[in-house]
This record gives sequence, structure tokens and C-alpha cells, in this order.
Amino acid sequence: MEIQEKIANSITILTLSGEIDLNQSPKLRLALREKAKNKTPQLLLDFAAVAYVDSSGLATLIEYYQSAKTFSGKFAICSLVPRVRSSFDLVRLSEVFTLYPDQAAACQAMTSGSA
Amino acid sequence: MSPAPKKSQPASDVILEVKDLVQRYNGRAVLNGLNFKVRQGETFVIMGGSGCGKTTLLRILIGAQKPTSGSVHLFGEDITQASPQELDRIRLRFGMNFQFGALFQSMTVGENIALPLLEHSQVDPSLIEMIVKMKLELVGLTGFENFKPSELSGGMRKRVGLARALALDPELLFSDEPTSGLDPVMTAVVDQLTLDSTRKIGVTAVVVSHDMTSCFRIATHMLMLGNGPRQGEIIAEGTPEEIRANPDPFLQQFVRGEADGPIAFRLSQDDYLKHLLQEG
Repeated sequence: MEIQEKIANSITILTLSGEIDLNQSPKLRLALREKAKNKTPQLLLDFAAVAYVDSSGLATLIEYYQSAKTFSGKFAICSLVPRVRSSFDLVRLSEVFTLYPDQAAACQAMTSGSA
Repeated sequence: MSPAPKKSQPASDVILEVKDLVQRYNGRAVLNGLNFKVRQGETFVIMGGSGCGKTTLLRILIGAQKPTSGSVHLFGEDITQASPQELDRIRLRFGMNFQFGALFQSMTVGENIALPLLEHSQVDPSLIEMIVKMKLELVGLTGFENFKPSELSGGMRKRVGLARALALDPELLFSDEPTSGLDPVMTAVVDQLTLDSTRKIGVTAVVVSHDMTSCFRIATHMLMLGNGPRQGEIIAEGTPEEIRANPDPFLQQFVRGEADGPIAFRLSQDDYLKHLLQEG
């Protein structure tokens, strides 16, 4: 799994690619823990190039979601491919996380304050 | 909806291949030269009556028993020749859902589900706690993590067993009689869980069952094992439509659940007489 970072309109965007499984989720956890430590005010994860996420990856996202709540950080995820979206749906994480169809929609919503 | 591959497509889509498999007990062939393949994304249902060797076959497929002869290639590796260490590595890639859950009675539901993660992964305990909650949500048992198995119904225990089998997000799930003893509603619930795992997240499933309603509901491919005079043979194999259309009287008697047919309830008059007069 690869992680690329950029900042656009004060939103920190992490673009992920590859598969997030037992071997790769610690790398994501490390990156998200750093964002939590820095109290990143707005974080968007772009999943467009993520082909697979397992339970350890989903748990890592929940952990960041919990951390972000403590400092009122905004957290959203965008561009889930259908297979990955199914993994979120099956354990009802689509109801927990703020999801957007693409990066543009996510940035617009986060900038306007509706996220 | 076509099944999605769980991870990147491998070079071959065959996940499991059985070649010339024979199992004899005291010289009697329980499995007699079986050959079949399971492909990625399939829900492969193995059917057959009591005593046809379904459980023996499943034990061999998961590496719990060595066959008399033949091979079983799982993810391209022959598990009949694998060392215990190699088997442990291969076992990380599949989950086993046992007929009665096979839960540890002294542990809570949550501890049972967490066990494979604690034993076979480096996942942080705080994340394991979340994974357990997600697996319980998946099987419709949110909030039951602190219950003991003895405090649950049979259907609930079966679902906990399924949650534990899915704890490590396996590529392949083996299920032994996942709906036996369940009422029709709970059978449909368990079938739906199997369908969700295969169709939505691309798990390949090998299900052993004699519940015809359930078999036809979940299968993409079916295999029927014979017993009696056709003990240990593959009677039929194909899609559910092909199985329904197959005129083999043995198969049709089983599929329709009829008492009269080639699957004999009693010995023939001649055989009974021979048996009665047999010495020793």
C-alpha cells in the first residue's frame, strides 16, 4: 500500500493505493496516528486506488475516527470502489463514516462546512 | 451479481484441486478416486447422504487428515505432502466453520472470535476488540461479546462460529453443515451471510450440506457424493441448473428427498437373506 499526501483548501488529503490487509494496515495506522497527534483539523482519505481493505484496515479507520472526535477534527473518506464499499456496508461503517463519491465532492462539502 | 475476487487475481483461478483422492477405512473405500476443482469466487456445495464421506472429505481438504492416496492442492500447494509448519501457513488463508461452532465453552463469544487474531496476527489488542465487534455485527450478534457460548441458542452459536471463521478475513471459507438443526428463518439468515461473504467481498466458499433448500440457494457449483452401492463416487457435478436437470435417479431421489428409489432404506430380499445366514 502506498500513501501520498497533499493539502488542498486547508484539507489534508491522503491518497491511498493498493491493498490494506494485515500486513499493510500498520502503515496506515502509523500515518493516521501522526495525523491524530497533530490534531489535523480536516482529513480526507481518497480510496480510489484501494482494491481491498480487510478488518484490520477498517478497525484502523475506526480508531482514527475516535481520536478525531476528541479534538473535533473533520474526517471523511471518498471514492470507494464497489468491492471496498461492500466491506464498509457489511459491517455498517457506511453509516459511521462520512463518505463521498469523489474527491471534488468531499472537498466541496468539507470546505463549506457540511461534512 | 458476479462474485468479486477478494484480492488481486492470482495466475490461476483454481483455489482448490482434488486429484484421484482415495480414503479407505479397514480396506473399505469411503472416498473412491475423487477429482474436482474449486475456482475463486465460487460457492461450491458438496452434498450427499449420511455416511457418504462428506465429513471425511472436509477433514482431508483442511489438512486435518491424510488421505490413503491422491492429492489436494490448496492455493497451489499439495497439503497432503505439507509439513505441519507449511500447513499452519496455508491455514492462515482459509477459515473453518465447524458444524456445531466448536466454540471454547470457557471463553466468551468475543474471546472466541478474537482467538485466531491473537494467535496468528500482530494486530494490536485495541484493534482486535473493534474487529470482534464488526464480526459480531456481520453475523447479527452485536452486543453479545461478553456472553458465554452456553448462554446462546444453537443458531447463535453457529453464527459465532462463522464470525470466528471469518476473523482473519480468509480467502476461502469451509463450512460443515452450516444450517443443520436450524429453523427456516435462521437457515435463510445463515445462507444470506454466506452469500454476503461470497458475492460482496469475494470469499470463496466450500460448503458441505444435505439441506437441499439451502444448497440451491447459495451454490454456484454443486457436487453430489454417492453412498451405498456408489459409495465414494461423484454422482454428479455442475451448476444448480445442471444438477436439477440431471436425470440420474440416485441424484434425483436425494434432491427431491424421496423415500423410494435407488438409495435403499433396506437391503434387498436376497442381500437380507445372505446377511441373516452369514456366519460370524
